[in-house]
Amino acid sequence: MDPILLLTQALNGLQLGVMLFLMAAGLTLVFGIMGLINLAHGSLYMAGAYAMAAVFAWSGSFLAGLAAAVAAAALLGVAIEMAALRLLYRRDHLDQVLATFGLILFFNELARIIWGPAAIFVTVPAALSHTVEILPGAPYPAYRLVVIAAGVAVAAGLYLLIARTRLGMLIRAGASNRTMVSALGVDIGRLYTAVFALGAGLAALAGAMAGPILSVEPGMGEPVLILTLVVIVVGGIGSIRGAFAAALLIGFVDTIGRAFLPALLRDLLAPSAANAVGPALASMLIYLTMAVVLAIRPQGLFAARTG
Amino acid sequence: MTPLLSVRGLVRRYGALVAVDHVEFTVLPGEVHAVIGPNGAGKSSFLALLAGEARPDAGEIEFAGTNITRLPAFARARLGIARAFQITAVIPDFPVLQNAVLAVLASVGRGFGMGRAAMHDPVLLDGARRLLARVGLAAQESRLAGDLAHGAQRQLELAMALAGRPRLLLLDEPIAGTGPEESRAMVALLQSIRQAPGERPGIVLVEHDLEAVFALADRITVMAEGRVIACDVPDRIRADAAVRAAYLGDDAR
Repeated sequence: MDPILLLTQALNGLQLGVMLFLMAAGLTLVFGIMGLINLAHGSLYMAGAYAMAAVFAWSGSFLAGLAAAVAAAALLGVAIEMAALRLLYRRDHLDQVLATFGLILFFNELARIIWGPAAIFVTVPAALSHTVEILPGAPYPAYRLVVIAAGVAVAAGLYLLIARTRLGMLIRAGASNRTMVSALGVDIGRLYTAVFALGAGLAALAGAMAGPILSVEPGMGEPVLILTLVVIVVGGIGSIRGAFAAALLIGFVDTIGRAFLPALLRDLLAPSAANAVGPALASMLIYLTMAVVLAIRPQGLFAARTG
Repeated sequence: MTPLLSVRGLVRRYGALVAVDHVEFTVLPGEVHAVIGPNGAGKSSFLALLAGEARPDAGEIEFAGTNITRLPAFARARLGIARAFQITAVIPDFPVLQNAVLAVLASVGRGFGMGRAAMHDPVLLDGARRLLARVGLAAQESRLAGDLAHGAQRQLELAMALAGRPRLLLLDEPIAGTGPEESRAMVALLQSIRQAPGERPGIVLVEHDLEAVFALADRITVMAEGRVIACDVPDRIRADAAVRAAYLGDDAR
């Protein structure tokens, strides 16, 4: 196995992992604290990507695009929470899935109406469009390195927010026992809205950073939503640490599997069989990983303790 | 004396069941008003209505001159109504001290400064340690709340309820299910709370342990099938025939 290719693919896996973490952090908090399955989380990712594309094109500033994406999605998140999701907290999970699936259709159609069905391509900002030689003979795009660094920095900041601050303490307490936290005088409704805005902002950050890597188009949120659901189940629902570990695990497994599994199978099987099985097996690999983790630890890697 | 809490015609239905049926109820400042009755009498539903966790289908609740019938739980807490639950409510994976800090934070710090550190703030820590000292848990502050004995968890919960210097305490079976030693400690603690100078909160005490009820209560309301069947001073309740009838068939209590 080519070590430079392996290193490159490992970095790709890490980059996918931190993106998945940004998505999973919000989704797992919302599910862990509010008991809400929000399939429209992918729409917030898409909203971030579109807001980024629009503001970046208009202003020419990538950072302004990022800031606009996070702010717009946080506001959109607050609006969705207050207008729709608030009515769903007490309903069962099937109602939540139906209603938030409806939101996906709504937002995909809205994106199509505003920006059209064609994909928008966002360029990498000029300052980051070069490659960096991480090892001699191993160039890697500077932009992807920055994405990795930003993702890790946000993960660390989020950890400090949850573990150390007053807001974080209320979030953790609210996840454990919301009735009691209300009885202590905390406005749980406002806390929920704040958590939802935070999650929406993180999803938008992921979407905005993904813009130059993937294409910005209606429905772009759903593939990443499915990966994110796998991440929060593997990590343990409601656990930020679990989401981080599982996001990296799923990011690596998916990337490395797709890169090397077909070649590996060609050594073991007849070429025609390997060509047929390899890509299929590679795309199943994260679900196999999920099945194995759940068989060993049904509560996920880091189950958030509630009681 | 003007009542601290007055409840008029309170009704709560769950489908065909009338859990709370036209209940009239008052608590005077500094009074311990116990609510007893057989299982399913509607005591916990009544307490949930007082705390704001459920909405009544009819009736009014007035607290310190304010109509609170439509207020959510957190707003009632901010007015000075504190609550301890039948199933002990502490955060099991927080240390004892952190539980107390949470309660102090909920009672003082609203809206601003939410990004500040929680466990390094002297105001929060001092307040929390005072609460723990008051219920005798100071030595156990670094243990996880979930690892405490049942009686100690109830003491912690009570300490947390006291964080906002409440004017009314709603206690749901603070004694039932604890051992004799813990039960005596809890009765003594409740006595000290009601006599604390300058505070003297009114207390609504829902409790199965009749010995504790008769030791603590100024008045006792007896509920059965959602209705109030008697409300009087302890000695008269002890002698009341209707009360005995309500407990017939429930003599395990």
